[in-house]
Amino acid sequence: MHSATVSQHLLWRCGSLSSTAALCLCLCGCVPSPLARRTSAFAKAAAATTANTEQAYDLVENTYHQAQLAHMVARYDEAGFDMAELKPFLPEQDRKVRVDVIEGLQSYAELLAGVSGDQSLVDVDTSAKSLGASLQTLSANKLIAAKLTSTDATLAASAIDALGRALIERKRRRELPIVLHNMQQPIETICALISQDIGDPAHSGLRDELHINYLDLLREQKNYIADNKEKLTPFEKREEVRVLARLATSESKADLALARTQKALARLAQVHTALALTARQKNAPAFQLQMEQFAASARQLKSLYDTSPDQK
Amino acid sequence: MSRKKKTGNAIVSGQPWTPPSSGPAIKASEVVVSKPMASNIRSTDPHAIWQQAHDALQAALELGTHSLDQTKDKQQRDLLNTLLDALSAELTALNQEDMESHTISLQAASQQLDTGVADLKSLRQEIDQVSSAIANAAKVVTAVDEVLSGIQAFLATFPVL
Repeated sequence: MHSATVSQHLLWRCGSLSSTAALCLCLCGCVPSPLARRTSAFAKAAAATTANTEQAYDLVENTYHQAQLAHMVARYDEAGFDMAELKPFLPEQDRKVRVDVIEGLQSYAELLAGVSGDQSLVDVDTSAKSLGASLQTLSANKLIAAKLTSTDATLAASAIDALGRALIERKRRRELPIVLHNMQQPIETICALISQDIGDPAHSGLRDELHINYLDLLREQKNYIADNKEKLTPFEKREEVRVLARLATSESKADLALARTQKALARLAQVHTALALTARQKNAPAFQLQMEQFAASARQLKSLYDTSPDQK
Repeated sequence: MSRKKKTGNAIVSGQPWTPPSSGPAIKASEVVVSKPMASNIRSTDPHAIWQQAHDALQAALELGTHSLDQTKDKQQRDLLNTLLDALSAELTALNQEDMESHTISLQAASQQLDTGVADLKSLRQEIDQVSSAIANAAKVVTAVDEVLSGIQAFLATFPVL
């Protein structure tokens, strides 16, 4: 009898201590930190941007392939048709390096999203609830003298949940700023190099190569029309001329996709730097504005590549 | 930049290209696309040299393509097409060379990125361990309850003496 009273007293003390601990920890650990929220938003937009960046290279490879085919078809009588003559624009080893870099950027963005997102907190909540339910079930066992009421079990679960959340937030607050700072330079370098790869339609890079390929495609199509104008019916001639219009539109859309990719990459580097610099600040209004522009760029980019042009 | 004129060459260093319909007839054997004009450019910066060569060839390609639209004679069109094919191939080669020159820098940046990814993976594991620890505690409590329930059921099979 006396031991039961002592057990109940101990349980009551345990319950009240748990509720106090839960309240304190809730105040500091339950709500994701501003850094975690900012990092999560950045990571989502960065993942979307990097997912589309590889398509920039695919777009130009495709037009280069089409231009080579058009050339081979036009010169069939003189040179025959040998598929072995078709080569990629970028050699395999150079392409692989770029794919690895873009996949690395994607992994970085996805891991940032995972580390700063809410899923880990939800997992802690689920585990803590499960522990509370298990404790209550155990307490109901006849072989256990000490009894927990459902309120005590809930309070214990809340305390453990709050402790878990506080631990996670503490790790994030300590480690994320260090990672962001260390990655500032590599991210800036990678975005600048890929942007250089994309280049300018008049001077260098993928955009210039795209333009040259479309000049070739348009030229071959005009040659076909000129060489066969006496043989084409008016309807056939109109259809062939329409191909010219489609090619011109395709070039315009493809170049826009490449230009927007460059812009999105520049914004990615800018926003990442801003994130690293404001890591320990509670409010960062300048970052918020940059982040909104970046998120808009990422969305625009996705819709551009989702409606990428067809070619004849 | 010094400008040298080579008679009979379709591409002349530093001189604007003259379309065949308004200049002297050019024979196919005289068509030579000269290499990028490094020897004619005073800049010693390799990239500047590359860019000047590229820009000159691209200007020739654009002009030649425009002229092709106005050329009706089949023979002249064929000649012009041969020229434009060569210009296009040369420009593609220059673009490929330029992009390959970025590859080493990209490789180095990729290795630095791998370090950051590894740090984040480690942080992710530490965070996951927090919820795992709580989940394991719940499993232990459930297991204890099952054991005690088993003992209780076993004891219930013995009659009270």
